[in-house]
Amino acid sequence: MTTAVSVENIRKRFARTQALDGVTLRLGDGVTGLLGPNGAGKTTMLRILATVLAPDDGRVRMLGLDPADPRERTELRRQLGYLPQDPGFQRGFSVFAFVDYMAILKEITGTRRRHEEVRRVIEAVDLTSVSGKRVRALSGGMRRRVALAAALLGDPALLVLDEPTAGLDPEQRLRFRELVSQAGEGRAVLLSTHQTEDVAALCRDVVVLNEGRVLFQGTPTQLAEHAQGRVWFAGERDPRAQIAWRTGEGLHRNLGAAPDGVETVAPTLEDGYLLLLGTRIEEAA
Amino acid sequence: MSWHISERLAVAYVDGAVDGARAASIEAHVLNCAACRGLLAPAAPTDRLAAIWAEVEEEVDAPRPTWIERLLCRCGMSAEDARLLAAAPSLQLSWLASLVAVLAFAVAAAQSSERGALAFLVLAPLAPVVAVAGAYGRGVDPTYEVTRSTPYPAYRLLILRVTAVVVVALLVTSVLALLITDSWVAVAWLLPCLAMVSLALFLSRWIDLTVAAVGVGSVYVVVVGATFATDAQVRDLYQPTMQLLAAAVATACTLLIVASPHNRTAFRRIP
Repeated sequence: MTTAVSVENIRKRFARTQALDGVTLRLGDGVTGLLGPNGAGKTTMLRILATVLAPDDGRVRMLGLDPADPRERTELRRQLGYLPQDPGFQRGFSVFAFVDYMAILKEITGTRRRHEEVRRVIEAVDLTSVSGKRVRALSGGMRRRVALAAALLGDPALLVLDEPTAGLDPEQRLRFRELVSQAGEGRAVLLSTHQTEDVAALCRDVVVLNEGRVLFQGTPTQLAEHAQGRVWFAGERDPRAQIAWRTGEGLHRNLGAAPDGVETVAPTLEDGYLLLLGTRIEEAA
Repeated sequence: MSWHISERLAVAYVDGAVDGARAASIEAHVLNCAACRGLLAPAAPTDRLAAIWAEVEEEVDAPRPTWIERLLCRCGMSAEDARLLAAAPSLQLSWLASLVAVLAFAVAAAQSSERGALAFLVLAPLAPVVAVAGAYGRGVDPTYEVTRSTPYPAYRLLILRVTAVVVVALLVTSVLALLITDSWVAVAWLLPCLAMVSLALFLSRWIDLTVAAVGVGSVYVVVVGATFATDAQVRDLYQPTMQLLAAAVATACTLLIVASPHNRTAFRRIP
């Protein structure tokens, strides 16, 4: 695996909150999912990788460049696409004008060449039919696609996507997954999400963050295996289960140390994730 | 269908050697005649057609420049810089309309009484400072976060926008000030205004431009308010000594901005 992103022991503090507390990671090409509850440090991590924020401590290298060095940071930004959690828009601009505006900021020079690139990314996110419409007239899902088009400008080697599927309906989420999986071919993509289904569907690797620390790094299958032999169904909530919920069929899905004699079922990635976090919560208590 | 295109005519058409009427006739014919289309197609210069199609796409897709972009281009600015400026919140029509409305009221007041003239003196320097606060910053630019992840030099963008909004705000204020009969009132706002704008720009090296402009403007309002509260003459704030002080602040800040090595490297042009 070629290392696209290497993070060593980074820390970031905001007033009294330790957002990142000694995070060490190595990410390669393909899509990597960053999972974690609210306040886990995902957005801070992604903002550091998007070169918007500098860590208080620790080392970061991306695409062989050091973002702490101003010249290397500028070079890195030429190869970087970033979709923030809450992307803003010049809403009075048309889709084409907005993406063109972002293309100017990405230093894509020459009007003809720039406009060709704008057309290419708008087509890549399937918005050609609305490229003349004002951004404010678009739905939330379409606006996210506009922001993704802007992130794809210049064919970046590294894409940083902060909760790209948040607030989208199921159909839009599927469309977005398709776009992200296409974007992940031949480049490194790091996306944060709350949705374990997105990670299971898209990611080659997954990182779980909690309270500013890495709890897990591996494949989605390895995360699911974390719950191997620890998931079972029962008619009632098992008091020995760490986490349990009633399913649509009326049975209780119990997660935790399975009692002797029960028949365990194949775990999902969500089971592994919940148990990983649940275990930590229990340890903390 | 009375006629078909001969091979010789097809070659002449492709070479552009037929007159307009004949070319139009050929074009109308091939729309309905597959055989003649088949004759023309291999001879068609695909490179030229691709170039023509690219031109058509460019004409159809390219966004129409806004009024502010057209105006800036006419003043000699590049289309790229004009687009970057068109995104500045304080260059939007609604902002400019508010600025004109507030200043127009202040000018009308200045014409009617001594207190009105004082109100103009207090307000006029603030207008460009407010415009600077809305030019570029975390709280005012919706794309601020993503802009910071691009290679475009942030300081160049900041200077471009500040220059544009200050020029526009100064022009609007100056034109309206011409309506004031008291010539001293009509010009006394300028140096305090330049001092505040350059100080905010100088401070933006360390803090967000919006915060810097709001901070400087607030200090000015507090000073004016305190002077008013102590029964001192607010008008004295604009007397020659204070004007000299304002000129010194404006000059010092501008020199420090220009001389800073950081600013020189940050204000590089796009290669």
